[in-house]
Amino acid sequence: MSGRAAALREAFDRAFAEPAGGAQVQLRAFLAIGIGGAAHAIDIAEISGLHAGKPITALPDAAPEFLGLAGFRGVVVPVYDLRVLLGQPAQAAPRWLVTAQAAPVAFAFDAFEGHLRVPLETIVREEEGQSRTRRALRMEGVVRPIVEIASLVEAVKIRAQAARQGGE
Amino acid sequence: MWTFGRKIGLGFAVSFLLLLGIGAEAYRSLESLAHTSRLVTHTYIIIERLGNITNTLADAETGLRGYIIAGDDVYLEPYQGADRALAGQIKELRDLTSDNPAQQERINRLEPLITARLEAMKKTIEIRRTAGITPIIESSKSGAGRRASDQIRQVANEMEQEERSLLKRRAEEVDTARNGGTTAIVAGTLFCLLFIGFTGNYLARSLSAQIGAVVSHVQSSAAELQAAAAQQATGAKESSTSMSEITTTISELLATSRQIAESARRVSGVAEQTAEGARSGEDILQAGTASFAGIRRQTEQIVGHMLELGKKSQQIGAVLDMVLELAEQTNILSINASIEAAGAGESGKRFGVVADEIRKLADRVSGSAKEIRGLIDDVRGAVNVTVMATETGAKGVDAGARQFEQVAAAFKKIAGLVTTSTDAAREIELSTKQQATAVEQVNVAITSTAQATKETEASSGQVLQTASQLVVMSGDLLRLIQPRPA
Repeated sequence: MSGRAAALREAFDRAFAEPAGGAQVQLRAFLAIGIGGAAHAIDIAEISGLHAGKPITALPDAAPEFLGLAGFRGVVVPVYDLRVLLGQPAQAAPRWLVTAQAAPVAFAFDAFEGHLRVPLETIVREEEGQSRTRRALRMEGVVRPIVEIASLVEAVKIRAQAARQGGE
Repeated sequence: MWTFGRKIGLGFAVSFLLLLGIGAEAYRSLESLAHTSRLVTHTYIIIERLGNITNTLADAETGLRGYIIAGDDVYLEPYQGADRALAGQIKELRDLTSDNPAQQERINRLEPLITARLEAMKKTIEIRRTAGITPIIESSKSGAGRRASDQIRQVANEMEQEERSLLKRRAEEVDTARNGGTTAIVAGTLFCLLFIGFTGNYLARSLSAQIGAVVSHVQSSAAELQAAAAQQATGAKESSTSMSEITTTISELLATSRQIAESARRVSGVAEQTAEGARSGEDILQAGTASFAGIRRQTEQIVGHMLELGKKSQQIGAVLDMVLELAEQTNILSINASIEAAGAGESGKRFGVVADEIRKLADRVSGSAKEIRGLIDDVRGAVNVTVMATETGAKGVDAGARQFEQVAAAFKKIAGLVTTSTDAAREIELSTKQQATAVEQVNVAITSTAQATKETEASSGQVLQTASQLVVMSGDLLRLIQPRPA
């Protein structure tokens, strides 16, 4: 174990020893997540934060995809279930949350698998995919659909407006 | 039910009593007749004595008259004899009528009259002797002498009449006694004859019926006895055959008993060797018990150490959970830092690099922690398995120790039993020797019994023959008692 700790320490120090902008290949960051047992990815550029185990306050008589309200750095935002929005059955309460960059909205999902930094050529467009997952990451034979957070935010806005108009 | 003797005895007893009654009545009648006869004789004697007195007195008077007329003393002899005899006759008459007060009273009257008459005769004789016949003739004219004689005869007649009436009464008593005796004898004899006839008839009928029934029963019993005797004869024959087989079997048993006695002697020797081995094994078992106690202590120490190791592994797991939590939080923080850095533009790039490296470090720490968690889980699993195995082993050791103790106890018991078995084997050896001797005696006895069985077989044949004869005899006896009409 002492050798492994030394290796970790060396790798960390070496990263800071290398010159900045040394890498010529353009990389894009994604979060690897699991929704209902299936592997998905979220573009980090579309989110403002990753959170785990936040308490969600449920509201009565809400839509199935709306889980409730949660607080993030002093701001209360609505939380939606990614599983329901992607047409999958909701089982246990999701532990992980991401807050959208475009609007004060959070989306909940089952599992956080890791941070990915991939080249742009691994991003493919799938014609037959859903409107929320038109892109995907193809890595080592595994296709990981990318959840379009911006599209979801727009859809949530439309639903909210429709609900508000229905309420008026 | 009355027996024959009782019935016959009763019949004879009643007949005897009847005859005794008849005899007693006859005896009483005879006694009465004899008594009456004696009384009659007594009465005739009194009458005779009374007649003697009057005759004596008449003779005296006759002699007196002759003397008066002739003056010769020869004629005075009757008077002198009467003077001497009358006193005795009166006394005799008084004695004879001592049981009759009336006659005694008459004798009391008669005796002075006779005395006075004799005194008058005496005076007359003196007068005749001194003065001659004349004064006597003169005095006889007065009639005093005749009146005195009449008074004497009157009293004598009264007494005779009294005795005659007694005779008549006693004759009547004789008739009464004779009639009573005759009636009793005739009626009693007739009744006795009737009773004897009736009793004889009854006894004949009763005895015939009872004896007939008994003889019939005897006949049927004799028939059953005949069947039983036949069965017994068959059984005796079978017994004789069986006894022959038993004799053969006993001979074989005798040989077997001798073999058993020899085997028992060998078993006794082996049992002694076994007892010696059991004593050695007991020492080994005690050493084994001590070893089990040592194993038990060591196992308890291992269990304690393993439980301590499991506890430590649990603590390490808790620390590792904390490290994982920290790595995850670091990872989240680094991702959020990267996002913030990306939003900060060019100035955030360097910060983004740092955040990225921190995230990588957190990833590696997380991976290492997960790997350690796996190792810890493996260690805990191994510890649990070891603890369980050790506890199972400890339980096994306990069970083994208990079983070993049981084995030791059983072995001790076996050693005791082996000692007992040795003694028992010796006793068996002795007993089998005695048994062999007893079997020899039984063999002799069985041989004798077989001989007796053969004799019984012969006797059974004789019994069968006798039973057959008894059947025939009972039939004859039944025909004698109850002859059947042809």
